Amino acid sequence: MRGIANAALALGLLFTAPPALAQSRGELAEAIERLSSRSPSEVREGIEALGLLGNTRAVRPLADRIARGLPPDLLDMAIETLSILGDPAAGPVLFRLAHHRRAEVRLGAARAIASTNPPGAARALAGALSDSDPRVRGAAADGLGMLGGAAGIDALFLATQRHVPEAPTALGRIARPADVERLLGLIGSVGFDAMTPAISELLGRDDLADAAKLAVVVRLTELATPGARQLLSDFVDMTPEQSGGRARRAAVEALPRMQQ
Amino acid sequence: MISLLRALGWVGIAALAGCGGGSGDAFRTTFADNEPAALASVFARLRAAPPSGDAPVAVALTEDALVAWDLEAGRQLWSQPVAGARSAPHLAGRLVVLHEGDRVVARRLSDGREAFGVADEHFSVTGAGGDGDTAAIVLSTTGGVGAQSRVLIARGDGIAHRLDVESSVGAPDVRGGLVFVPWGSQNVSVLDASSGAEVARLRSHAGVVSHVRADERGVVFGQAGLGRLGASAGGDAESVGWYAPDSARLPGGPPPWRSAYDPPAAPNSAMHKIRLVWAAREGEGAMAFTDDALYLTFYRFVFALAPEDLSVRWVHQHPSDVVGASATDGGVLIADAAGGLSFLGTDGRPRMQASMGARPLVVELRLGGYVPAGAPQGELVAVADQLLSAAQNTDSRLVPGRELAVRALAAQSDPAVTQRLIVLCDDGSLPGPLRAAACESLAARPSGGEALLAALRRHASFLEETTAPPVGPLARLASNLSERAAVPLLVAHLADPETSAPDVAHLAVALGALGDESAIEPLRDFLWLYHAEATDDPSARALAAVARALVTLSGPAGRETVREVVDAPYTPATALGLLVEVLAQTEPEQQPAESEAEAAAAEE
Repeated sequence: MRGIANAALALGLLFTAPPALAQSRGELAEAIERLSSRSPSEVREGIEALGLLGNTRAVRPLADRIARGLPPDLLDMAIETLSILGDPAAGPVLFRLAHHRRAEVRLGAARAIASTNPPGAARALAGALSDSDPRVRGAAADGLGMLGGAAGIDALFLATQRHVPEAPTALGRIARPADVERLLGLIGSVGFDAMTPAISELLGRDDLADAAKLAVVVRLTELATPGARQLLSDFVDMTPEQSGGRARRAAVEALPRMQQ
Repeated sequence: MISLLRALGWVGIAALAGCGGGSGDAFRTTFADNEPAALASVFARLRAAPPSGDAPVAVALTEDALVAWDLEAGRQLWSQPVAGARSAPHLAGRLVVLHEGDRVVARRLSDGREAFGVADEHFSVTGAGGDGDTAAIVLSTTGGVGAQSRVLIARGDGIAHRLDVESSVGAPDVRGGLVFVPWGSQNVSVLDASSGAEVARLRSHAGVVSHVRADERGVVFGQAGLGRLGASAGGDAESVGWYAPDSARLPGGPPPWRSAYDPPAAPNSAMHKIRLVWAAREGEGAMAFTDDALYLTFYRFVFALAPEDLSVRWVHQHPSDVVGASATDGGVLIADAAGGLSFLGTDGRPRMQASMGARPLVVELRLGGYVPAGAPQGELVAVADQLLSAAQNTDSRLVPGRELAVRALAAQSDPAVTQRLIVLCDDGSLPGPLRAAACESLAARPSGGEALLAALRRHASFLEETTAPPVGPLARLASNLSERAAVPLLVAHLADPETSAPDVAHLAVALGALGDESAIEPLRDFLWLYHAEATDDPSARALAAVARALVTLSGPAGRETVREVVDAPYTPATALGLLVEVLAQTEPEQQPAESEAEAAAAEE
């Protein structure tokens, strides 16, 4: 039920909220006022209204309301609203909720941190990779991959070694050229299959230098396994010849040899 | 002659020996007990007795054989097949006695050959003892009222006297031509081995007597308590130096001697692995023991205990179960189920090791004056580390022994022990009661602040592969030690989702007790953030503890916060009741002026 309400809230934000209305100061004040109600339904309406208004000025009152304690359903809804509002100002309350006693709250907080990207987001998500709940760890890894940057890269390497399933993909998304050798080195410790998503991400990136991709191609050629060949084949197929550089040419040359 | 005795059996033996009623007044209720002159005479004969000369020996009973081992020479003396063994072997001077099938067989220690045997007539062997070529063997129906027993006195390879007793008789011994026979729970009759006549009787008022041990160190008797025959021994506890340890609190609760009036333990009984082992120190007065130690064997553990309070001096962990042990000056000799012999010195380190090459069910050891020689093997490990290791032993049978190790560890005053207790309290693989004992002991430690802080710095981390420390007991310890440096660390655990609700409660209590105002804000934040989710009992109690700590630290302001939380719309009923209690219990005393004003208002 709560999920439906939240989905409606999200859809409302995307498609139905007239910007002029949503910016209405009166409606904002009214929604904030509702947050203080003793009635759960009014608080719910207030949270929904704040989400629909899409005004980042809603963040502070919402954060304050969260800090004053909400029942589980309303708290989950409030976090999702902060996520939808996407304002980095939600950072402090989300960082606190990333250590909430209930794992569902931590999961929501990790996702919200990734979508709002407040200062310190990568550090918070790197910390969430150590969470006891695998869903939270997964969300943290996804978030780090989404945020980019190198802040969480060491934690992602460690998470990959600890077999967090989402970590290799994230690692492949944010690894710098200097990290590629280290990343490929994980094949030996965690296995090729676990690292396949990371390698696939590396080869598919437009922002990764040709030399780094070439290093990946060389390692895959050395491995010469069916999986390695498949990755090279996909890389050749997905990469236009004119923009493929030396990495693509090396892959093209290697594939017939690997077939033998 | 011997074969004829065997053939005729029990009654025939008695008739041939011509001693069916030859015991005179022995065991008669009219015999005078605690006669000073008679007991003094016995004592004098004991002092004049020459050394027994019985060789130090180990006799091992396996599934199908009886094996004798010369301890001094370190070689096997003989091995004899046995079938249907029903008792542990008993060493009796130059004989070894075993209940086999429906016969009681006495073998010569020199060559293992049968000296004589008798039909058991449904009696059990309750004990046997000897000195040189004189031996006493007791068979009994066991039990109390209506018990019947028979005492056999053997000289050389034959039975010299048989005495039938209408009472329960325990485990006898022989020294200096005198046979000491415990019976009827409180008597020790002293018989002349030559005539079978009773020459003195000690009647104990100190405690139950079912065993006697007589050797060069003196005559000791008792069961749960021990006394010894001295020049002025009477029936009272003081004159026999009565010693009664509270051994019921030891693992398995073995007394100094198990009751010999109960049916004897089968050869494979665990009773042979759970024993108190001791040797009396020579002398008079209060009971004293060699090296001032008792030894507790508990399967694979050997604990050295202080006689006065049974505190643990050291613990030895053996590779296999200990199935026999004997104490002497300088340590304790143990025999194990793998056939090994090890002499543990006064510090617990092995000093001699040998293998008998058999896998015994039970081993009877006699050291006499022999002390195995050898240098201590291995490094001396600190007692605290010995105890920690014992507590962590994974043998599931050893849990009571591991609990003793935890208790002993907790009793150590060394601040370093706190760290060991943290390890145990933190060990999720320990059985629940054992871990609880460790945690309780940890919380009550009088020292160990550094270890406390180091432990509190740790948090659960999936990536670092660390787990949360035992926050509750650590918080209690911090409070006991008034360790204010722990406050920020405790606050960090308050915000850690891995801290369990019960631990949050302990943590909050500690924060309140430590009195550091830096905890006020985190406590207030916790109270507000979680007040609407405290639907289960542990969470509600944790919340109430946080509220109480807040009031303790911030007084009226804290009460105001708690009042606001009580008035808040989403506080669950479970938590609400407890928070109201907190407000009631922390109600400040009414100011006299207010009281007077209220009283005046009431009067108006």
